[in-house]
Amino acid sequence: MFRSFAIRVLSGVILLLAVIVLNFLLIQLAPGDAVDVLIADGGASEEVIQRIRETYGLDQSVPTQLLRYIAAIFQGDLGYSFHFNKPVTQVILEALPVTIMLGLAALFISSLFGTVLGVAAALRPNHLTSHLVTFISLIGYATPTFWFGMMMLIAFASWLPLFPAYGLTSVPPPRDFVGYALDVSYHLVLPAITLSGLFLASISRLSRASMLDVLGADYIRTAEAKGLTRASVIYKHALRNAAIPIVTMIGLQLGQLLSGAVLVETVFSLPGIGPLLFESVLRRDYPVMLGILLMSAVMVIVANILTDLTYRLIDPRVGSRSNAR
Amino acid sequence: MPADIQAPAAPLPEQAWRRTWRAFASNRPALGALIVLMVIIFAGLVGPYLVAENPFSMVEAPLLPPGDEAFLGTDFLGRDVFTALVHGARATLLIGIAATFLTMAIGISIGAFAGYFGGLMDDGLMRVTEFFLVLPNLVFAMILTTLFSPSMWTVIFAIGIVNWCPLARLTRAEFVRLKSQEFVLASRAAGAQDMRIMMRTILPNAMPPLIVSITLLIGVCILFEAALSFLGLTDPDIMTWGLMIGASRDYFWDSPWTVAYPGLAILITVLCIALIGDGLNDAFNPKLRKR
Repeated sequence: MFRSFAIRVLSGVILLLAVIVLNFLLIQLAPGDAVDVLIADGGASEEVIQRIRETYGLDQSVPTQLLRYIAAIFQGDLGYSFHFNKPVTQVILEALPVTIMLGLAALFISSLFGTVLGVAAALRPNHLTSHLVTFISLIGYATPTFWFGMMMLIAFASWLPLFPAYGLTSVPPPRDFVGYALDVSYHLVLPAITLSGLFLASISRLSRASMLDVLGADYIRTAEAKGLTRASVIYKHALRNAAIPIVTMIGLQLGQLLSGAVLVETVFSLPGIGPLLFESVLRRDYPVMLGILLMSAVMVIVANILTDLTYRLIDPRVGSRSNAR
Repeated sequence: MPADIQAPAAPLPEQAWRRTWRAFASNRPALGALIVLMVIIFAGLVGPYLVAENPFSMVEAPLLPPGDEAFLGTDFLGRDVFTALVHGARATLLIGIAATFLTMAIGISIGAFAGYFGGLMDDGLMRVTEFFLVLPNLVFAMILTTLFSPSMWTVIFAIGIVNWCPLARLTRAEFVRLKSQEFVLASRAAGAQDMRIMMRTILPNAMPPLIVSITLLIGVCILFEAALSFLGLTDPDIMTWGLMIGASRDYFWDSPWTVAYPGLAILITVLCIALIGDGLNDAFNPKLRKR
C-alpha cells in the first residue's frame, strides 16, 4: 500500500516537472518577453533595456533560465504580472477560492442527482424512467455550458427574478459572517446548477451502467435470498459497490470541471479563475495565463493521486500485492 | 505480396456491416437523429447560396425581435440571425469535422503504436498521454490559440492537441486485445510488414468501438469550437454559432433571440450526433441492447 502510493506520488512529481518544462517552452514561444511588456510605452534606452534583462536573468542561456524557472516555481514564485503589479501566485490565490467553491457545489449537485437518476434508471431498465434518464443525460452532453448559463439567467434572473444575475455578493456585502455566507451561496445557486449540468450526464450514465452491473452479481442474489429488504439490498449492498467507478470518474474529471468553471464564471461574472484567465488572454498577460495552466495541472495531479488512494480504500480488491494476499 | 490470403478469424466484413446497419435502422431515435443531422448538413452545404451572401452585412434595424422583417430577428449590428445561422452551420460543421480528423489522426496513431509495439514504446507514449490528460483541456486550448494568435487553423490545431487522449487509450486497448489473435498471426505468417498489419489487419477490426467514440468526438469538437468562439478566440471573419453567441453576450438580456437560436442549433446538432453514437453503440454490441 505505502510503496504503490509512493510510486504514484513520484510519478506525479515527474508529471509536474514535465508541465513546468512545457510552461517554460510556451513562455519562450510567446512573442516578446517581459521587457517588451515593460517598455511597451517606448522611450527606454538600450542601456536601460539591457539592465532590465540582467535583473530578470533574461540575458542568461536557455538551460540556465529553465533551471532558474524550476527553482523559482518550487519556491512558489510563478512570476510577476505587470498588469496587476503583483506576483502571479498572489493574483491566482485571490481568485482560486471562488472557483473551488463553485466546483465543489457543482460536484455535490451533480453527484447527488446523477446517482439518484442513475439508480432510478437501473432499477427499472425498460421503464419510461430509464428512457427519460438516458434522454436527460444526452441533453446534458449536448448543451454548451456557457449557453445553458445564459438561458438560466434569462429564465431565473430575468423572466422569474428569483436569483441574482452576476457577481459573488450583493453590493454592499452583508457584514456578519452568516449573512455573508448565505449571500454568497445565494449568488452561487445558478452558476453551480449550470456547471453541474456538465457532469449530471456522465454521472447518471455511469451510475446506471455500474448499478446494472452490480445488480446482476451473485452477492446481490445472496443478499436477496437472505430475505433482506429491497431498500437494504439496494443501498447497503448494491450502491456501495456501484459507487466505486463513480468516485474514480469524479476524480479523473477535475480538469473538465476546471474548464467548465472557466466558462460558467465568465458568463456569471464571478471573480474566479475563469474571468482572470479570459481577461489575461485578452491582454496577453502570459505570466498569469501560464501560471493558471500550471496551477490547474497541479490540482489535477493531486486529485488523481487522492482518487487513487480513495479507490484503494473503498475497494479492497484493487491495490498492491500485499493487499491481495 | 500475398494480399489475397484470407484471415481465418476475421468477420466477413460486408455481411457484418449490413447486419449492423439493420440494427441501427431499427433504432428509431438514432434513425430520426440521422435524418435531422442530414438536414442540418444539407443546410450547411446548400443554404449559404439561398440566403444573403454575407452573414456580416447589416440588413435591418439592430435588435429586431423575430417577426416579419427578420424571421429570427437581428443582432446588435442589425445582422440577420437566420442568415448567420445558415452560414454558421457550414463553418461550425467544417471546423468541427476538421478538428475531429486531426484528433483522430493523433489519437489513433499514438494508441496504435503503443498497443501494437508494447514495451518501451507503450510506456513512453502512455506517459505522454497522461501528461496531456493532466492539462485542463479548455485552459490549455485557450493558451494555445492565444500564443499562436487565433485563426481557424489555430482553433482546429488546439482542439486536436487537447482532445486526443481518450481515443488514444481506447485504440491502444483494442490493439492490445487484437494483436495476438489468430487472424493477425496469420497475416504476419504471410509475411506482412508491421505497418501493413496495423493499418490493414488490426485497424479495420478495431473500428466498431472506435467509431462510436469518434462519433461522440465530433460532438465534443463542435462544443469545443463553440466555447473557444464564444470566448472570442477564433477568426472573427468566419461566422460560427459560437461566435454568434459570443458577439451577443452583452445583449442577450434584453434580446434573448440573439443567443437562443445559435445555442439551440448547437444543442440539436450535438444531440443528434449523440443519439447516432448511441444507436451505433447498440448496433455494434447487440448483447447490451437486450438489457
